[in-house]
Amino acid sequence: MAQHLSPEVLFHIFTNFSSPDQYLNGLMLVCRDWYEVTNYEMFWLATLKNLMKQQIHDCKNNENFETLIDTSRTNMVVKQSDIVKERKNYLSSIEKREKILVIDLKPFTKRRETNDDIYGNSYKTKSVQFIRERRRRLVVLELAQIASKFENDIIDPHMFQNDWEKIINQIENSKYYDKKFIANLGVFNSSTTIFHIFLKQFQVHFHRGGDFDFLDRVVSFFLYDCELSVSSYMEHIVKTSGFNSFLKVRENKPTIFERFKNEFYFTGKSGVPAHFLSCVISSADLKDEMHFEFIRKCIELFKTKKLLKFKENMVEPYITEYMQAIIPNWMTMELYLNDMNMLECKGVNSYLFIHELCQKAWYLSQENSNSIVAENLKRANKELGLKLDIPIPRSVTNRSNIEILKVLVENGADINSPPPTLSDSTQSYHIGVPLARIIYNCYTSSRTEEILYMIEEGATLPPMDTPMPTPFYESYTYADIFDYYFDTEENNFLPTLKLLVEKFGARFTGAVPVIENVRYASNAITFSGLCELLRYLKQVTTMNKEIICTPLTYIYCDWGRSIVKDDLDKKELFREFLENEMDIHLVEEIIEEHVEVEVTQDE
Amino acid sequence: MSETKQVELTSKDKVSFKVDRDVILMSGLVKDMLEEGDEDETPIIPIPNVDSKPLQKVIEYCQYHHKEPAQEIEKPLKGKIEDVICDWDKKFLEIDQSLLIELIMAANYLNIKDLLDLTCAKVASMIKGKSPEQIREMFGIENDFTPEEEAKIREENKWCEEA
Repeated sequence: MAQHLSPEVLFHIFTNFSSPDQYLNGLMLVCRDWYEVTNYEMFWLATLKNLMKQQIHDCKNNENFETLIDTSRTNMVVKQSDIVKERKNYLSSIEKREKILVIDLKPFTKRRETNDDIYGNSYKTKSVQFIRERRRRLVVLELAQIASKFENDIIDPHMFQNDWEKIINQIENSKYYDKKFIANLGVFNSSTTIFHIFLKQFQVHFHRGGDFDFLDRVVSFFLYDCELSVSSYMEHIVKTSGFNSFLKVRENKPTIFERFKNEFYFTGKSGVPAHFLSCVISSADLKDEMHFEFIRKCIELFKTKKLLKFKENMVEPYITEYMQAIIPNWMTMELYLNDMNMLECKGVNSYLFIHELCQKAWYLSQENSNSIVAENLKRANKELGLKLDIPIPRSVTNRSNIEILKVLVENGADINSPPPTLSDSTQSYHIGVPLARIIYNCYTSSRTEEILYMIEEGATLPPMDTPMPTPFYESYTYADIFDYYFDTEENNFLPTLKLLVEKFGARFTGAVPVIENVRYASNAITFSGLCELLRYLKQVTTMNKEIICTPLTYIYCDWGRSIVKDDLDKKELFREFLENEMDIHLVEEIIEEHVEVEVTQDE
Repeated sequence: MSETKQVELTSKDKVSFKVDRDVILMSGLVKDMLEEGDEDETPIIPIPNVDSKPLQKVIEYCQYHHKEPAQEIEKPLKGKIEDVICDWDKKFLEIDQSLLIELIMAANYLNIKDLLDLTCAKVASMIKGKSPEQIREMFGIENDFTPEEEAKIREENKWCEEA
């Protein structure tokens, strides 16, 4: 009965209402008549025309994909802009092909020009190419769509894992392609695979806080089950900080690092991008021994490839990145100084190294971090040749670092030299900057021990009229540097202040800043200590009584805050002391205001 | 009030049907023939390739869709035909296979695009997802390939299966 359907009608049914899948995989095998229909060149022309028309229509209607993407979020890995760009490129490519193949019928024209047989396979070939390309695209877009789901919803590790389990399942059970093929397909562009998207998502959303077992499972799926090349993903895996995957021993299989090593030997000129090592070190936890093991293996590997020029290409250009990543523990110091020979690189010297190291001393998050760094410096000096006879680094003078300071001074550091950043034509003016910096930074913690040590070791201060270099304000000079000196320990404070004045002259703007320091200090002072300080300030500063009376009145008013408990009853003695001995009169208006406030608060 | 102009169609088995001219103008073939003839007469148009039974269905279709234009059917057909056509068309298609085939041939001959699409889509829906063997059985088609030929076609189109 169906044999009554003319070829023309079969043509119409097949090209309009059946999909190419159907006639390629079934309809053409029904009988000779049906098979013949699928052999016409015009049949494939019509097929291609319909396929392209449909795809152009779908593309212009956004394929219902990017409407799922939340454009208000900024840290999306699957971005709407990528989807739109890919679709635009794809659409443009189809339209170009449509013009050549369907509108201009170029294959026919060409055959006519070359007197070839008018019948050929061009349109069947092009149709199959088109179908394949479209299916590949749909397969990866579907995967990307699943991957984008959790980014659009809640950045939740469980949702992330569920979605990626779905993706793996879909790749494993694809009815069209094997997993290796799918894993190699580009998503949005030829250089981004679905595995890249996974790694990027892990890095962006769960950096250093993700489930590394899950990471390892996915890494293992793509690198072992799908047989992706390790080299193409090394940097991306590194950025997730999933270092443990590299050296993990898997049953009867080489480790990822061993595979990387093999691929590395067979690659061309360098094998890895020059920034790779800096990327590894920046992403590693430089307190983790396994991370160090991996880094060392990488360095060892890179050094074997002479063409790579390890020092010139991989170390020197990335000194800033290495210094940012530095951790003041022994493993890092050994890595930088021994494995990477960093001191031999241009732009690196002991000063820079020690400065950065001390800058990060706080990173150890231990009470004795300064002692550890000091010990490591001594050890590095002995075992790794790190020179310690350098100017005192700014990072040492900025924070309380007595142990490090001592190690440096004991090993030849010049106590008075300004840091190299100031070592220009004005260097001589800045002799003594280290001590000045320590005094200037007294507000952070007690620095008296360091000040006394520096003085004992012969530290000086720059001349009074020298302008302070940055980070001080340029308009400031060293003439008022003692305004900044303070120690909450009363027993340290006044004797040290006296010693400083004795050595370097009275460098104050007046008595007010010193009294303000006392007023705002967290620790209380004794009545006698305060009196002694005022007597001393009267001797060494131009004490303007009309100005100093204000902070002193506030101390009087807030007596319980500034003065130790045992001396709380000496408030009026303080007033008497000021009036009788210092000839300073408290400001009554302030006292009255204060009393009013107290009464109101009591009520 | 002017009288509606009519056309007389005569089927292969010599049965005549009088149809409103406006209705039967849905047929490209009839339209072309009428353009050549005298408008004042009631023209008699022989339809030698179509029997009275399918011709009657054709007229029924034209009479309905002359007033209610047919909706375009999706191409290719993604699901079942019943999901994309109106109730009247569903009922219209409740016919046996042999009449369906005759109707397709008639629509093709008479050049009625919407009817051809509807009936072809019905066949496409029937064969969708079926194996060559099932299709042969459904339409009583004899497999005229030798096993060698069938294997050769399968081999030639092996790449298509990947597609």
